Amino acid sequence: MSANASDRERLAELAFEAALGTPSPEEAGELERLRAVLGPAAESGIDRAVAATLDAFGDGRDEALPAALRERVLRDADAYLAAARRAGPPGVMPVAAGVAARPRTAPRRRRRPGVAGFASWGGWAAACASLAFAVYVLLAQPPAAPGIAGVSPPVAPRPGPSLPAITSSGTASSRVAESASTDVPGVEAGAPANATVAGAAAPEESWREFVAARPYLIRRRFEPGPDAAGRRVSGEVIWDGVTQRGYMRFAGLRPNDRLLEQYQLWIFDAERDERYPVDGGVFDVDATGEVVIPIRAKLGVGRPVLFAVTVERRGGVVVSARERIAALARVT
Amino acid sequence: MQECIERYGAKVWSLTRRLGVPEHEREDVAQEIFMDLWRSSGRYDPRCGPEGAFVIVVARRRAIDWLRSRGARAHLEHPLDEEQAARLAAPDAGADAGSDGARAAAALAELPPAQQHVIALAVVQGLSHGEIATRLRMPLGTVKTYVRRGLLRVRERLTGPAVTGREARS
Repeated sequence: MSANASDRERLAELAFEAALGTPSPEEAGELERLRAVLGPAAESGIDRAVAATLDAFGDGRDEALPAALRERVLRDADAYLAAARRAGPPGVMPVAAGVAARPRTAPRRRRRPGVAGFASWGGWAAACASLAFAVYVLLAQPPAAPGIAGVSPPVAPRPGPSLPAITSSGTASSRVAESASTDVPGVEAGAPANATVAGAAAPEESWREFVAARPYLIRRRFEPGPDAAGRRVSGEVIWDGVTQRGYMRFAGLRPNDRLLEQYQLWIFDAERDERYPVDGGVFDVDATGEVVIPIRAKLGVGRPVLFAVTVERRGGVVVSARERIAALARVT
Repeated sequence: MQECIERYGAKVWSLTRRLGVPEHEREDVAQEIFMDLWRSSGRYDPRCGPEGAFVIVVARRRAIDWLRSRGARAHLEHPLDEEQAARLAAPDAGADAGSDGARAAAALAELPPAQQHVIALAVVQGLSHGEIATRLRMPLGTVKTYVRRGLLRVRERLTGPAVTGREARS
């Protein structure tokens, strides 16, 4: 068997894991690497096989969507679209007739408390007076690897692959992010995920315009984390949940040694397991002045509760050891 | 989006029942699934497969995540539904033999019952490999192999020449 055939077989195996929602972080990283090499066609038929298997075990009975629910879903969809339109050019492409128009986020009838994490977030927040201390306590917990829902026993974190894209959907998300135009001066549209926008200070007026056009933006200030690299940091993060785009602006973040390490953003999402924050991309800081960094979330972010910047080895990691936390911005 | 709702609403709604979402929660879960679909639509790549399959996979994952987040594991405690197993052996006579579901059933029916069981636990009931291994007292590697090889076989059947379930078993 040629190496290429072996890679294709491995990609199919991992893609099935991803479709079922069961890949470990390491497998997700491996999948991302193989996708980059083999392209999307190598995954052809994976979703179809899973969907057909569900059908095979099913009773073949399809019930019509209840009328009241249909109306609710339609209202949600309208609200979603309206929010997306208000956000300006979505920077995304309709993908197919049925799923076209693709809003990114929407109001919900009822917010669920999140996957295992929100309760602990709330308790954690109440128990800790200091943001930095509180987040340090949380982040200092070594992440448990494999086991999407925490069913597997915790194991020591392992360094991940050298690619910043970590998740099963990372490639597509990155593609979307890269296709998006940016409204923030000084931020290069379509820049790679690990782009550095050092010294690209956005004029305050334009920054305000960006924010004013998006009243629903999440906007929070960064505070120093425990690591010395962020001792003098100040800045803020803005996050647009509709377009899944955002930016960070820093001053005082210590320039990193590009050969050895990079900064990496992690977005903690109340709707995800807190052990697996969404990778927001890696970046460099090569000036002590203000820098603007586009956020490249590798997965959809439902309800961000914390933006954390860590120092990692060059290229980023799949699972952070959370040993070097440079900056934090808590949303809730 | 309306077209998406019209086209896949019944599938998504029915899936919440089949995956064991409690009746009084089904509407909320279905609503969340559609929200997730809007959010996830950018991940869809036509080169990877049909849109309907993408929708079902996203919906399944969302529903299972929801069940897990609520600790709703009652559905996970049931053994493989005997009706489901029987359905593989004798698919609905009224079903389109060339449909993906029927072709998958034909492929799955060729597998040993133990492997069918493992695949049903993984795909229909959403158990992780670890959970399946624990429940069935089966090596984790065996569970992974069963699931992967079984689904690969389904994929081959779907992408290969159309063969009806009955033909495949004859």
